[in-house]
Amino acid sequence: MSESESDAELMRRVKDRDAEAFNALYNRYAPRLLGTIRRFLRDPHESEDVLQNVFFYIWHHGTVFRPERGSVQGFLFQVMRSRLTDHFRRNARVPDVMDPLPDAPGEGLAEDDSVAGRLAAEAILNLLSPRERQVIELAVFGGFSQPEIAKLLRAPLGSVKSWSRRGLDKLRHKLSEQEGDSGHGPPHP
Amino acid sequence: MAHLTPEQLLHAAGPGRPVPDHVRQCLSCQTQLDDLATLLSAVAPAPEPPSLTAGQLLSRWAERSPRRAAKSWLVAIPLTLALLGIFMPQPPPVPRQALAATVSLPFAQPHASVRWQRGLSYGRLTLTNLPAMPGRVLTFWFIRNGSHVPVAWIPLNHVQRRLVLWFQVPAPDSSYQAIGATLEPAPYRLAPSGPRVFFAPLTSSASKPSPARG
Repeated sequence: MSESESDAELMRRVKDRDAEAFNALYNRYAPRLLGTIRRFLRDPHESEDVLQNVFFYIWHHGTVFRPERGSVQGFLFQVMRSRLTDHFRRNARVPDVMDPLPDAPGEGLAEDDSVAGRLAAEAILNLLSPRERQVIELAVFGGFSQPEIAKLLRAPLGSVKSWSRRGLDKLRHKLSEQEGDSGHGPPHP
Repeated sequence: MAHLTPEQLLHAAGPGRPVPDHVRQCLSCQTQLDDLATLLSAVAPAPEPPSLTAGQLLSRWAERSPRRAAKSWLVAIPLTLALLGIFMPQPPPVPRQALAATVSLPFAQPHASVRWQRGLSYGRLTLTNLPAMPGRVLTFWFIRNGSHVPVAWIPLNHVQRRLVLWFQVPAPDSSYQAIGATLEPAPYRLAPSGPRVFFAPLTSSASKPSPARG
């Protein structure tokens, strides 16, 4: 199995029930999908269940994928959103984006350089209310649309739009302040 | 020329998303999108390896039949209840803060360093330029074979220019492999749940400290 084999080629073979292609697609995307699912689900076992449902769907309904409509990655994340939504609906819960990934040992010092960046980013995101941060993370990391977020949070669409706009305004304001401090960056509309 | 709506901007800021055509012609939207994507990438979900391989999943799906699934539920429910009753997690021993001191330093980046010798009951943390993050607690963990032992909690309610903290090490002769820190919503959690902001392997040398740039 070539590392560089395209997603589309792997997906075409998965449609024909090629286990080797399924394995390659799984190895390529399952860690990213699981990382994203864990962002919205506290329980690691529930997260793995959702991931398995995603790939169960891919294995059994891969023919639904149409390359002319978008990328394989987009399709996988679309299936993930759908399975996550089903999970929340079935369990009468709303996503919890304030409990992200747990620590993991054995990864060395690679993240040391990003400590300051993470703390700085967390400090900026801390300006947001929990709801504002939640809708922004669902949109950015989950790829959910505003109507989908409204359903997930069981909130009116107008509220979701307001949280989104207010949160974004706060981030824009803070980021433009920082750019002003550093003396560059174009004017915003 | 209409700028991107908040929804379009947030959607485009996600990892691997296509860049809208408008952004290629609008410097303002391009700058906002770049800034937002950079900011959010610092807290983006990290990939996490699943516990099952693709082969194991395929085998499981091939073996599963409706009758077997129903039987497994019957067994699983009483077993889960029994396990919950027997193995309710106990709170970890609470380390004691031995000394804390604060002095002022000029502007700098957050920085953490750890000093501990294997076998010693106490270690020392030196932290500088911690930002104020009300409602968040910086929690340090000793890590051994995938399990996490909490050793220190630092509430980030206000800016702290310099903090020196002595912490107690449970079972100091244990083969701890690393020390990490996460941002938690509350102190005294049994396991890390927030984003990791510090990680350093503990060297095999008994006397060598493990500083890490923050």
